[in-house]
Amino acid sequence: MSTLLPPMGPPGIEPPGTEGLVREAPLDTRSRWRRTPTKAKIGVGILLIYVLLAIFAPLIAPYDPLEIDPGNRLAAPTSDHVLGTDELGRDVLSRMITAARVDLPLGFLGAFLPFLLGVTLGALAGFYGRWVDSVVMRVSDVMQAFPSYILIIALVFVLGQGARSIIVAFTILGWVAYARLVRSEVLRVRGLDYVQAVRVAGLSRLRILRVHVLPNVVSQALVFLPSDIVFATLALASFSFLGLGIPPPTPEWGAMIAEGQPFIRTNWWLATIPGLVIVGLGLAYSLIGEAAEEALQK
Amino acid sequence: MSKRLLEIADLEVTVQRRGREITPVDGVSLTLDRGEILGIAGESGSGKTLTLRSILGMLPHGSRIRGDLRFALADDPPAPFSPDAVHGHGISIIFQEPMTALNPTMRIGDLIAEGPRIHKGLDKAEGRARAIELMKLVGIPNPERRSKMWPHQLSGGLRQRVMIATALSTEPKLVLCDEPTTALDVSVQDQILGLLQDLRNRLDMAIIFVSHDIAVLGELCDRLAIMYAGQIVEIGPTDDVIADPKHPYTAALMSSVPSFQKSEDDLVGIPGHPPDPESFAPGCRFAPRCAFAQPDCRTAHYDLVEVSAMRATSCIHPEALSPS
Amino acid sequence: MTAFLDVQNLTVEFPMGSAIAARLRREPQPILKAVDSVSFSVERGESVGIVGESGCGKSTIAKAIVGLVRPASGTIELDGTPLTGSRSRATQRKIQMVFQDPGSSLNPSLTVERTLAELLTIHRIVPKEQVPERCGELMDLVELPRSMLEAYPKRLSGGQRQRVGIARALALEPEILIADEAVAALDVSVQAPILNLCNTLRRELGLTLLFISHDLAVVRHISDRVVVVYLGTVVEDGATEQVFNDPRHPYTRALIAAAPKFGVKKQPGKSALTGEPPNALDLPSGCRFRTRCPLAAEICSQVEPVLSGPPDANRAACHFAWEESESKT
Repeated sequence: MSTLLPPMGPPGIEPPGTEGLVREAPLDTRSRWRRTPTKAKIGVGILLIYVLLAIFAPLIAPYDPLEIDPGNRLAAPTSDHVLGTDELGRDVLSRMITAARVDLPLGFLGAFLPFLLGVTLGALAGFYGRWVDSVVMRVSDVMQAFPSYILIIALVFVLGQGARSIIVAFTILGWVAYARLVRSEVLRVRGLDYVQAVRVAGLSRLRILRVHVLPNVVSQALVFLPSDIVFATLALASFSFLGLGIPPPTPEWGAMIAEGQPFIRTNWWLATIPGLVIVGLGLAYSLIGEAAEEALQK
Repeated sequence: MSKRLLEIADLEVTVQRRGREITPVDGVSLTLDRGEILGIAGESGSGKTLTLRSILGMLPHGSRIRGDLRFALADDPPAPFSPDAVHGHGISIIFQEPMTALNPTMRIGDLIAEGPRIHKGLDKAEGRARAIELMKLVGIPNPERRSKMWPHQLSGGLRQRVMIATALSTEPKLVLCDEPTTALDVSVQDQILGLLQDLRNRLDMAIIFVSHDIAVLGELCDRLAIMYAGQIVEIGPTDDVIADPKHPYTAALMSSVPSFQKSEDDLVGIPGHPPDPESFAPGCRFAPRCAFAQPDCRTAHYDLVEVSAMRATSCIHPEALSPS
Repeated sequence: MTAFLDVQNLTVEFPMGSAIAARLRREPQPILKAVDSVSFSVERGESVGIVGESGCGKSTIAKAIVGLVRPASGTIELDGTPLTGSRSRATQRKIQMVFQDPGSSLNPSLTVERTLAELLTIHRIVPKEQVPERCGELMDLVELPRSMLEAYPKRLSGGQRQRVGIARALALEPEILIADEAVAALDVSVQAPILNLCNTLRRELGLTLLFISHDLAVVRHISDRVVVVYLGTVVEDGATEQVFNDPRHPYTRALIAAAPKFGVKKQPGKSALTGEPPNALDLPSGCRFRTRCPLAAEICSQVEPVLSGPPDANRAACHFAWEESESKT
């Protein structure tokens, strides 16, 4: 008799009774390149395209993105202006490509700086404990309780519009999630035997934190980073849409969506294409993040 | 009423592990009579836990069982059964970790009464009374007071007793024990083993006891099966298997356990480590680590062969053990 | 002869519950005396087993000796020099530990070589150029192939990881090695070679070994002397064979009787030790074992017994340890 049994236990977990086995799977001898999962390759590939476009924007863009042409406003796509022109007669394609020079780095920094700050504070809080922990935790409680949009608006008001205030605002708000993540991981790792062992071996606390604790706690934060970059890019776009982001005339995808919105009936592509471009970037980062997460599971 | 309670023939269990299919239990056959205590000994990867759990179908998502399992319900002779039909109606199971095996949101009395109430339709008061009766049976002091407590309020030993009480609540003829004393202190283990023996005598209950601790199995079991790499390599009366093993793995196992009596001899371990199901050796699976391995061991088909009354071994050269 | 390692009246306390809550209730915070005035000594080159059941404090004793936990009172002296809370690196080297759980005893992000090399480098055990060779020598010492130096811990089996743990402890060339349940999590057939290895290393390197375990059979096999711990105190202390053949404390007798033995069948219903240990925060007066002791008498609730015994015999903390006609149960 052969039966398919009812499910029990989550898939992917070791079946009970097989613990302790040494996985003597043959060592994967393919080259580094072939071993990388397809997901990651596609994600990195897409990202690379964006990055190259951003770097070579001045050379690739057919027109000066800031050049107005009042006589040729809201033109439909032609061979001359492949994506048409916007309400000031500027070439949409050139603005699209040039906007990458703003959105890519800002989106990245808007997540990476919080990552750096959050991981550092979280690790210090978890490792040194006591008053360091209390201070960091209470500050993070306050930050979390604060309505974020109000804070961003306030910061932009104080520091003025522009890239710098956006980054500062994101950093001030964004570090909390990373700090909590890393802190709880540090608390877990701190009690593990291999950390006790190096304490017994007389290593300095700083070294223990750097070599034995940090590498084993950042993985979760690293997996979170790509999706956070996507959030940051979207947030940046939203703020520009609301008029709080990068001031005109600098091209920025979110701002372009806002500018194109009134013309959605006639020139629908003005608002839609930048949106799709953001989606494409988000997809790239998501694929990379997923691949990283799966790699860490192994 | 037949003496035979359980029959397992050619049991094979396949599980999914990280997307791959492995067969950690491969061709296990055994029988059990009423009131008998059978021990299954093995180290990690031997398949002993999966064998036990497969009797009640308690396997992870995507597993498959092949083989012939028969259990004697009521007074009938052993017949094929479905796990749902027997779990709670003749077969019960006790696990290793009393911490996680008891529902933390139920009071002790309710936990123990659950079985009888579901399977025998007792009402709340009857259930409570039965629970207290069972708690006395398993030696839980102050049963009335304890029945109102929560699992986290009890010690490991008491929790294990509660698990035993729960297992007994449905009046099983067979209790499966999956390392029930491994997580307990020696003194508590002693109490629990005494309890199991006592219950077997009083209730004519059979027990299959899975453990890696040979000394415990030696103390408790009538018969002993030794498992290695998903197969039973030797089976027979406990004392005989321990004193006069007929399989090199059994012999090696016996000499690696520090026995209470002799402390002079150096312990002899087994070089290497238990194999992973994905890389079981062809032929005799123990051959790569066996001190007595011969060329034909690498191609031998697995077969549990009787060497004397009640004793069987899968080794094709058991005579190699005799000089030692 | 003064002992090599001398522990005197070691006490380790842990405050329980929340300090703030206690303050609000205006009560003193409950204090758990995990280790209560424990004294024993170890000779150079000796192998001493510390046995007891879970929660008895044996691991805490080990952690205090190795410096992971600060004693509330008492002294630990190594070769005449007291070990204080803050130890110099040179002192720290002298006592090293092997841990129980092979799953968490090695840093998963470091290869075996880096784990070993780090200690060799920081403590300047050998000059930098010789570090790789010394790593190889350590692997030889624990009977592992040198090729395993490149491996990450997740590719190693439990037994292999324990060996690496031993190599790591030995890298600092300690004088005392503490094994805290070092084989408890291993398969039986894998335990044996590790135990043999400990014995061999002890002989060849002149190590002093402190073996913490709950497993009496293992302790009997590997230790010259045994210290039996119950609820934070030493109840018996003596040469292994003497303690096992002629235990003088009722708890020791019960432990030995309870331990499963080859060739001895269990008697149904009879157990060596009944009941449960009392709550460690609310210990019985006098002898803390009296609530479960078959010999308990009036004096046991009034006077806490002291570890004592005739010379050349085990010491036991029981008022009736040395009365005649006490037979083993």
